[in-house]
Amino acid sequence: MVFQTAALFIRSRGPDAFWRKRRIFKLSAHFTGRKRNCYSIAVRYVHRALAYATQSRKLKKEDMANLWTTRVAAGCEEHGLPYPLFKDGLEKSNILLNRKVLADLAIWEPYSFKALTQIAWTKLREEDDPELNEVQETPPSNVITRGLLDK
Amino acid sequence: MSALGRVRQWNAFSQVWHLFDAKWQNPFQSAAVITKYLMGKHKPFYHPFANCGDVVVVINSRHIALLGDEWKKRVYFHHTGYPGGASWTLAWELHEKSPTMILEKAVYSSMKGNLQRRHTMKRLIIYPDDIIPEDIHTNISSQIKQLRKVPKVLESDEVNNFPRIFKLPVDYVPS
Amino acid sequence: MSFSMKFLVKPLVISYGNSITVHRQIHRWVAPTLKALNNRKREMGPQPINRRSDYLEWNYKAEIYSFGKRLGEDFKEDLLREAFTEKSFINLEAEKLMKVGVDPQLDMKDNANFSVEGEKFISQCVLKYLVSVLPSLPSEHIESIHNFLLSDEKLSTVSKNIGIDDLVLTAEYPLEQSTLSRSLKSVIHALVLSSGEERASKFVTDFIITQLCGEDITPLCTPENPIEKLKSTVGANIESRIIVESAKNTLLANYQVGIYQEKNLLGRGCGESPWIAEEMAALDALWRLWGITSNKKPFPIKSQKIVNSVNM
Repeated sequence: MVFQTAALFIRSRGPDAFWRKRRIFKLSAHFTGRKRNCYSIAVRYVHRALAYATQSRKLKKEDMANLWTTRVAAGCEEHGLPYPLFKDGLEKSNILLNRKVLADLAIWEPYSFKALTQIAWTKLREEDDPELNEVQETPPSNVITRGLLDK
Repeated sequence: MSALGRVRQWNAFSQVWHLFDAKWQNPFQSAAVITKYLMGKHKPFYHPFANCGDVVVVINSRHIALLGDEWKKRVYFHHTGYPGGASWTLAWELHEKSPTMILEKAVYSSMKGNLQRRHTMKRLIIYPDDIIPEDIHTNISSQIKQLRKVPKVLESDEVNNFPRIFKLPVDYVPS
Repeated sequence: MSFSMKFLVKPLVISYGNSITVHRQIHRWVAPTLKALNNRKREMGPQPINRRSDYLEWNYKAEIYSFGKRLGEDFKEDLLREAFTEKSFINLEAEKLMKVGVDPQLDMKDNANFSVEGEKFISQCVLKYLVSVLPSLPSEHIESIHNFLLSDEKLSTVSKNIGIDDLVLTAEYPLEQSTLSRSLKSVIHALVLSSGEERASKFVTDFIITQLCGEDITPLCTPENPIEKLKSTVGANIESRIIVESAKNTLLANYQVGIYQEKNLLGRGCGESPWIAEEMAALDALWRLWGITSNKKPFPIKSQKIVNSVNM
């Protein structure tokens, strides 16, 4: 006579491996080769990918911020004002736009952006900023502030 | 895409050919400026994956100016890959061998070392003198400002005719 | 396959001395069963899509009532029913009756008449609107914008998005674009009959003319030969000049051309060759004259003045 009770008990032990593996395979679905369908290889690569993803959540923000800086710098240098002076002038005129918005303006609203550079420049000139002496471009003459830019 | 959208895209991503006169310019500081134009970082829609760089034509690379005694002190290293294949070349020696190479190396090393760098370098054209082939010349439509003014060099008769307070004797030896 | 997770998960209680830990796990039979079901489903191949009215709890009367209420309109029910009834549906019903040996005396009317009337009304409203907001645009381009708005593609989008596709009584399913647009036209005619033309014209403004928002209408206003068209519009004494050119000897050559008349810049365009750029400059000049450049203000939808002028 065959006693199956012990064997069946062992077989029905623990949670179903199918669901545990499926969780990993879902994350490895876009891999290629054996790391896509072989569990023991897939799980290593999935863990590595998740670690990369964790790091990159921070890196992505830094990359975007750097890209915006490059774009805004390109935008304001087109009009002859260096980027540090531009930021300084905007802050002193109480125009609190961040780099993302400035970069968008530089691309899609070039005339509004030009106006911003002119305002920043005028503000710095009114304050006799010594760093402006090194800028060789002709300053804008079309901004009339009548002291309204003062905080 | 509408006809207008198509040409607008074409216009935005068109390659502009810039001219840069390297006469009496510091090649390492100029390299930073040239790189900016080669990579397209002077455009507000710059993106590292977009092909938005311009072409830069550099002339007078023979007449670059290095600071202080850098001609004698700056060393360029090269290794052939074989044992004993290392060589060190001074800047003035390299410049004699190839008057464009110092500037080219300066631009190359001012860029980040990635896969894009060699493709970007193909947009840099350097001529040792101010003679540019006609087909290149017709493409140029812009000029990059020089970083410093070219100092005036006096001709020999200008030096001779310059007003003097006194004239040194012919046999004068400075002690 | 709609299992509730509640039945798939069995609670497992393990006790260690005083503390009790509760684990939840999925039954062993769930995975193989789901696999088998999936396999069967795959073997069966693609199944026909059920329409909403095939389900048991469908209440056509209530749906028709709430259709009007959703849109904030008061429809007369019989008119709306007529607007939603397609010829193909009546034929199908008659066939069914014939099969069981009943004389097909159906007192249903299809929406063929309604849709023709509705199309006339929409067309009138749209034309009046376009003429009032684009006064300097030539009539042939007004016509093409009008045709664009009244195309089956646009109307069927509107029709689908206000939920007409579930309500139409028709033989075919999924619905074709022409059916959807025909039903929308009929619904608008039903609205004219129920609430009057003023109300219906506002409906057209709200749902059909708003399709212009964010739409690039310049491709609709592009004449065959822009340079000739410009000459016939402003006079033959125009001249073109290259303003900017770059990378002339390369594949990426780019030109900007301006069209001038008596030293005034009429328009400027760009392109990969001077001729394309000149054509674009002529188009730019025309679009400036017609007031449809890309920096144009958005179409006035809410303006009281426009709504009044559209009223009939």
